[in-house]
Amino acid sequence: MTPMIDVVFLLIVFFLVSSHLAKQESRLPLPLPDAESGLPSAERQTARVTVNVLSDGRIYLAGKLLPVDQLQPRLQYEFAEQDRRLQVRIRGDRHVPYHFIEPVLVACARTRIWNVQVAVIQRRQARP
Amino acid sequence: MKRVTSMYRDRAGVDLAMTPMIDVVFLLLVFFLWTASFQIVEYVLPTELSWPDRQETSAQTPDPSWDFEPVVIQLLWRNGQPVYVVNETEVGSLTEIGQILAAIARIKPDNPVIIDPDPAVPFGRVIDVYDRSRLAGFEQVQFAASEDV
Repeated sequence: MTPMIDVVFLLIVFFLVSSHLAKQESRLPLPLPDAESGLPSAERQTARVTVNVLSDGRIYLAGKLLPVDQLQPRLQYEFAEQDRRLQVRIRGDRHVPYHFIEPVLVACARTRIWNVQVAVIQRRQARP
Repeated sequence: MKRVTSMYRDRAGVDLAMTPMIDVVFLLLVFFLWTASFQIVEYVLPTELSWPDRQETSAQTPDPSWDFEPVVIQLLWRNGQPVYVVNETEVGSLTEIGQILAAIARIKPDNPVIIDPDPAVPFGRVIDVYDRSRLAGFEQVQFAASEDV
């Protein structure tokens, strides 16, 4: 029995880890900006697209590198695909200059996606 | 006597092999350590985008909130330091901005706040101002964007 149990446990652990990693796909490790008024992220029925903006301005959408000029067509496609109910979450590096974030906001507005969130980490104490 | 020997044999068979159990326990331990720790909980700041031709803000019905000028916070970047300009008046620090915004929000919390950052301002600094506006109690905080992006 013992080898079989070993193998079964290995399989269980493998599937648990891989499913966990699949969930993490859109969560690139980024130094997010910190804020005091952040709200806990609620898992809603609305479909969500996560746009990651790295410190050098590279944009990753759904875990894949995307040139900035292809962002709007891609959002339009996703928006139509999700029956015009789409939420966009912007995960931007806190050091990235604003001119790399601006095209993302403009692409959302042009696509008519008004439901946009900015991912932050909770600040522990007030800063002067 | 035969019975006794068989009894001893049974007892010997009950002995647990510890090694596989330790294997499994270690595997579980590693899995839970991996998944539970090192994860920073993310929060979100909701924003409501607006665009000149968005239906809700169209000029069809006169909006009474326009009696009050929107608060425009310009965020400039000089020598690696942020400079805050609220309605064309330079403001020293984020704390001061917080005080000004809190004073306005007490009178009119639904007054729109527009944040207009310089292209070079780091995103974290923009979010600082956005956070201050939300903490002051403003419901409508928007980012300015140029058309030619």
